[in-house]
Amino acid sequence: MKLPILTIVMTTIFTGTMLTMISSHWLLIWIGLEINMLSIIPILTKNQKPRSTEAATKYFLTQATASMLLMFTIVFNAMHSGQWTTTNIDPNNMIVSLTMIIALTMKLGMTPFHFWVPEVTQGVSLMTGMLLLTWQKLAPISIMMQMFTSINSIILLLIALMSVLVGGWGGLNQTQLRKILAYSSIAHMGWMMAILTFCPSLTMLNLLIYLMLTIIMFTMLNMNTNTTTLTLSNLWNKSPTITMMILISLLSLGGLPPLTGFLPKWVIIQELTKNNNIAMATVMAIMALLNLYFYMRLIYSTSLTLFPTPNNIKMKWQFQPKKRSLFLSPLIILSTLTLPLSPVFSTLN
Amino acid sequence: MPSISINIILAFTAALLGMLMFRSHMMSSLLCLEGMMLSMFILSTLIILNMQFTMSFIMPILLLVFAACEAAIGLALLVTVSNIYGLDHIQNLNLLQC
Amino acid sequence: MVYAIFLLSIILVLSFMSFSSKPSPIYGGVGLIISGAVGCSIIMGFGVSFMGLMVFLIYLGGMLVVFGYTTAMATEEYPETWGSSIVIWGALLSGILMELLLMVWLLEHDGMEVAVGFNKLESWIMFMDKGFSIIREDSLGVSALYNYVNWFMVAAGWALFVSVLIVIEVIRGK
Repeated sequence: MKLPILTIVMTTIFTGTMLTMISSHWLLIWIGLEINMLSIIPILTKNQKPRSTEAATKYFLTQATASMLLMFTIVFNAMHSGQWTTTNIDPNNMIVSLTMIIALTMKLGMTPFHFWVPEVTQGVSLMTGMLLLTWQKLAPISIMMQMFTSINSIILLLIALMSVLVGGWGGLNQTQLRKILAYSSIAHMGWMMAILTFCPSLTMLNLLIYLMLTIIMFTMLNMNTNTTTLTLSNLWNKSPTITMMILISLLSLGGLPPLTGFLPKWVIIQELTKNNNIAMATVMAIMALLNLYFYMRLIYSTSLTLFPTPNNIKMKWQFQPKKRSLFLSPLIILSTLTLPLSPVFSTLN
Repeated sequence: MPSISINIILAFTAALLGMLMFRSHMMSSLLCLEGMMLSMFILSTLIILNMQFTMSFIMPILLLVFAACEAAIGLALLVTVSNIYGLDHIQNLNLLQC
Repeated sequence: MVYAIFLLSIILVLSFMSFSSKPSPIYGGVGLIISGAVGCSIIMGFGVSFMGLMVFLIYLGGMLVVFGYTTAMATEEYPETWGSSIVIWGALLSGILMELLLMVWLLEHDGMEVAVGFNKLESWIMFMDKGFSIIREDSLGVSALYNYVNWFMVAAGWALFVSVLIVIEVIRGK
């Protein structure tokens, strides 16, 4: 893709998300989502292979359906309440709240509508996958956070619980790293949506930490273009430090105590327990173990064992890596060591 | 709810269910997308007329503009898919399945 | 008049059923043209003729040329009609059945309360000091796009421009 076109397209992606975030009128929100969805398509088909075209097609079809469903909700809501603003969704009107949640969770890729997430992420390159799993989540989540008081919480909690379940079970059988990260994204979306109706600032906290962790994972995988477990287990010849960093980041993504990823899980479980939602918190904590299991399998083949290789490959660590990543070290520190800063986050309320 | 609106919503539901059906051509899915847009256009125009939101008449027009963008990009993807596979059957898009 | 519009809306649902049961795109396109025409006349029946013109002449007219062209790329020797597959038959029949059941239910319950906006005639007439003049709501509202909410038009124009770029970029290949 030529540079001017890339600039225009990236600007439009940015503009679409910003338009959704800053507006409170449903029409502008819909326009922002639509602009964002349209302009991500050439990024997805950037390397013109059958796989990326298929990924772009699947992404386009699901997102266009979701945005039409959102339009239906907007019009139906205006028909009943005569209002076009975000906060005027009636939570007791079953059709409006149901189609609204369906449209937004289809955009986010949560469970009954999650099937496109692993496939689309698998079809595109690592950096595009990072854009898909981080930036594209911002606009729907910002809508959710604007209207969290009028969301029907039972449906949302059900969808969140199912997302955590599927995000745990789905990744168990995978060897492709992008699919594993996509399932981990589904599970994290479940955690975010589970807490949304109780305490939206915790959703924000979980979103921030999820963004940092996903960016750092994709950046580290992109440094040597690792897409399968096999290439990842050959990584110890090439760049031993990256294998250690992958270990720590994966443990943080799984939510183990001394690392940053523990913080959202901790406060979310605490908040759910405070709201007498003990069963849900228990199930979610158990399902996080499934996530941890497949991260541990990656860690085992990456950094806990030395995968057998021929001797001439063992010289590869001497070469400088070709791809440089600017924010690698600050992001690693942020995504693993900020648990002691957790009292700061209490000011988010 | 007046029964004309019920009929239009039923038409939207039919197009949505057709869109969700995993068979036949991708072109048919794009037609269903257009159908959803058309029913939303009619419904929103009737609502705006009924409630006398005169300034909101820009809303169906903008819906039309963005549906045109959507249809153009859908057709571009359709052309790419049928260049690659020779057909545009949706069932052919199975390279990435788990 | 209102009953005519009601009948038109039934025809709209039936023509939606005809293309959403997914026959071959050629027949589906015919169904979409019919539903566009019917939808246009529903809108016109309520007096919003500018919008009806917009959707039928500009949008469907322009878009269906492209659709017809693209359908020609994917044409087959034996296109599927509504009678050629049990799935299409099933979808079409269940859709029509749904519409019939809805009509029966409507007749049972509120006895064809079809009037939407028959008492809206006063919105067409604006009383002034000498006589009265007529304003058209739809073209007035759309023309607000030029001065009152012109940033919407900037956004829409930008989106159209970018989508042309995207189409070229997607089609172009390497």
